[in-house]
Amino acid sequence: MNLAILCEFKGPCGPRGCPRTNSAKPHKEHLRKSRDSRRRQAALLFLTNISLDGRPVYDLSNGIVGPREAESLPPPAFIQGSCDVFTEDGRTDSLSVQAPPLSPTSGPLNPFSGSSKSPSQFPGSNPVPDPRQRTRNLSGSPGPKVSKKVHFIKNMRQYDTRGSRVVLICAKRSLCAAFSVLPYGESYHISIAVCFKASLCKVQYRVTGCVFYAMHMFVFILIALECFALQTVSYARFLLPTNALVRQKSSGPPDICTAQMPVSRNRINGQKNFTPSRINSAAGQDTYYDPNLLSDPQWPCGKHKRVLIFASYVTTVIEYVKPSDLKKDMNETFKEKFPHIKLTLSKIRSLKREMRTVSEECGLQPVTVAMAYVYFEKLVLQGRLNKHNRKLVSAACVLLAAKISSDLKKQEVKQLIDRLEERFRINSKELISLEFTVLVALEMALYLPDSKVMPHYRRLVQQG
Amino acid sequence: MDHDFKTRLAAERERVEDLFEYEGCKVGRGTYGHVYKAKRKDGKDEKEYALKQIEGTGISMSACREIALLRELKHPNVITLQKVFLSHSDRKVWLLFDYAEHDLWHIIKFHRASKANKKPMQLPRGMVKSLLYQILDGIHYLHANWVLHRDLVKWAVYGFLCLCVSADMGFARLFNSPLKPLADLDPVVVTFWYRAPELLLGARHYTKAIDIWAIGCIFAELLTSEPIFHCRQEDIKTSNPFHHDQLDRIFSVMGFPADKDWEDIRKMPEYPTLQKDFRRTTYANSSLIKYMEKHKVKPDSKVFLLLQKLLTMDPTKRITSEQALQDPYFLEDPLPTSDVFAGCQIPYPKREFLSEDEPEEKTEKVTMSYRHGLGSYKGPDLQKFACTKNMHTQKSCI
Repeated sequence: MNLAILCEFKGPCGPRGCPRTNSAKPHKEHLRKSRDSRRRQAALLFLTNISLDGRPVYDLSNGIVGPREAESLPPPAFIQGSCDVFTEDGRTDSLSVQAPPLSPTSGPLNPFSGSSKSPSQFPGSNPVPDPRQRTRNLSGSPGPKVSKKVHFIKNMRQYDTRGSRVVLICAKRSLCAAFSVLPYGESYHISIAVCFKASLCKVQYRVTGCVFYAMHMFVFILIALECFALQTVSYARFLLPTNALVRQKSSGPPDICTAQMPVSRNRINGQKNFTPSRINSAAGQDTYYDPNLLSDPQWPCGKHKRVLIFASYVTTVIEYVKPSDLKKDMNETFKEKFPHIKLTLSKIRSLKREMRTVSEECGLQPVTVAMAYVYFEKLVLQGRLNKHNRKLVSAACVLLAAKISSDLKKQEVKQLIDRLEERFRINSKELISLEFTVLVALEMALYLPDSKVMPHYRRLVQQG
Repeated sequence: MDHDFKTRLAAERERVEDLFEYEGCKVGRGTYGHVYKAKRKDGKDEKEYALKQIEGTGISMSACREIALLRELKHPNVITLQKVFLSHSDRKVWLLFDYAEHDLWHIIKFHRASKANKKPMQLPRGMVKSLLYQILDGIHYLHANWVLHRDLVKWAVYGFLCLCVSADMGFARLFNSPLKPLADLDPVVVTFWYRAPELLLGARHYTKAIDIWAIGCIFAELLTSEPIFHCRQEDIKTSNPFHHDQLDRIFSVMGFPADKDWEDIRKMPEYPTLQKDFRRTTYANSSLIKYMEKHKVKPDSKVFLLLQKLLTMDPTKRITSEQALQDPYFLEDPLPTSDVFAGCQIPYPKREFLSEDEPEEKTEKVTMSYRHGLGSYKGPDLQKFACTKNMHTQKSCI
């Protein structure tokens, strides 16, 4: 689910790799350098022609859509017989995920408008756009990063590719595929929309003689184009997270068998999320909460997903299953991951739907519903819900969210309580008396950081 | 919640009456509830605490917000919520704070009264500076976190820290939720004397600049011992924002704003009324310079220059709390101190205890007159503890 497609092609030395030489250099080297420079030009052009938001990109030099520059490239030199993979990774310590560089809410970027604001999109606004700058802006990814490290990778499993760009090059040093690894999160749906149109023929041209990889390039492109057509649909969820390949760095080379198990990333996530039940949280205790965890669309896949891992790429096959089987499997998988949660995932989701319906009936804003979801999911993940209290707790979450984020008059609060009573078929006295307990279980943290609320909010708004 | 959790909670629950001694130590009473001066029973520390029992039962909207917000605030000039007691038997909510013997309101009232009794006592200039600095520091912290204070006058400043913000926290709103028109919430938000002119002209949204104006008013009052925009207030509950007498008072101190000084004044909802009721010429002789000169504040002093920046009519030109903290006034000797009373004697009386069964009516009356702010000092029993809740704001919540 975590592969998103695209982005950055690097010349063999990276775009900034080779300083322009002066004429003092020997002739031979000069030739090589100038070829590198043209190569670099071509790489830049290639990148410029990738539109990340689906709009056509104009060639900066002549304003024509199309890969004309490709023809002027010298034939790629044959250098070695194998295939190189290298990633460009912003983080030196690839395992530290404290501040995920792709976090949707980090930085001032407006997730809804960010992708359309890049100035380098428009002809003439920036004569030599820095491709990193551009891609970064467009994909809503890392903010103030300084220098990016380029790793040459022979074996992908050794690296944590989360949040990085991966470029596959074949023996002839021509591009086979390029993609970024993004974690699941709604905001990417927008930025993932890709238009490879312009670069398509160029790629074909460059990869002749390397059919195998060209095929895969097509796969990527197809997904990308489909993404573009549907705007908000991300196929990222069909792909296995690349970092499933990555175990603890210290544990040495991972074995393929375990890496092939689906959803292993979420196993890790699940453990992170599982806060053993507690009453008083010590000050430093981690109250990590991932707002995407329970809404992650990879859950419905259950076990009906086969992930094939090859030396340089990963592919996922999802076969058709009956919806009822899918649901059963989903709940089973969920149960395995979160044995302390006594509700099935489908029940959790239906409770959330219920919460939303009742809130909408009472005219509460989506942000209120989103807050109620956060409260609710926190309690779910703490393992506090069971068959008997689930409705009461859902209702209490809505009530608390309404009190904190809506300006309700006394009468309106009464109405809301009546509505909740009716919808969830509960007793309002029990509801009121549970409020204290819920407040304590939430550690009174009713105001929430945007990063926790926004993913829910976006889903609510996008689902219409 | 599951049974285990409930049982565990019950086992760990501490009862406020077991932990704290507060009987007969009531220092405040109002629609917000009761405030007691409290001490630990087990003698683990000798500190004084303020214990506030929220009026009503259960998690009311204001209680909910007060708890949730105070929980997030951590700043030396903002009151710290120490503990919350939820009493399951009677469904009362208790909040535990550090105790503040004096608050800003307390200080202002004291000097107002001394002046009214013809024995004026000026606040030491160093203390004024320290007070202002702490107020600005606290408000800057809140503004940076998009919390709007709404009723500055209720602040308490004491000893070395704690400028109490708790009072209206129940009603302070985090800015990031969509702003609702003020009138929907509450017809009267800031005491008229401290109300920014844009509010009086019908501005619909509460802004940071409105808090800054109120700070300017407090600053002026600390310097002169009299409310700068003092005005008789007939009907405080009016829902009409336009308040002729209050505007008249502002103009007679500041002068009528020139067109170039406040271009957007034309866009104010009450601008037509303003044009109808007021004439520029009436105020031709008024200016803040003149007003402050009467109180021996020179127009070229750093004090005055900062005051002028705080009391700027056009809200878009008004200084921000962040800029104000950088003002040269604070770099000039005497530098602001962390203990506002540094080197001064504290002339202010301590809080007095209220009798437990004080009739509601009397308290109500006292509070009313204090709200109407008739300017005379009513004695320390007026001194609500820091956590006083503004009556109006309280009324529209549950």
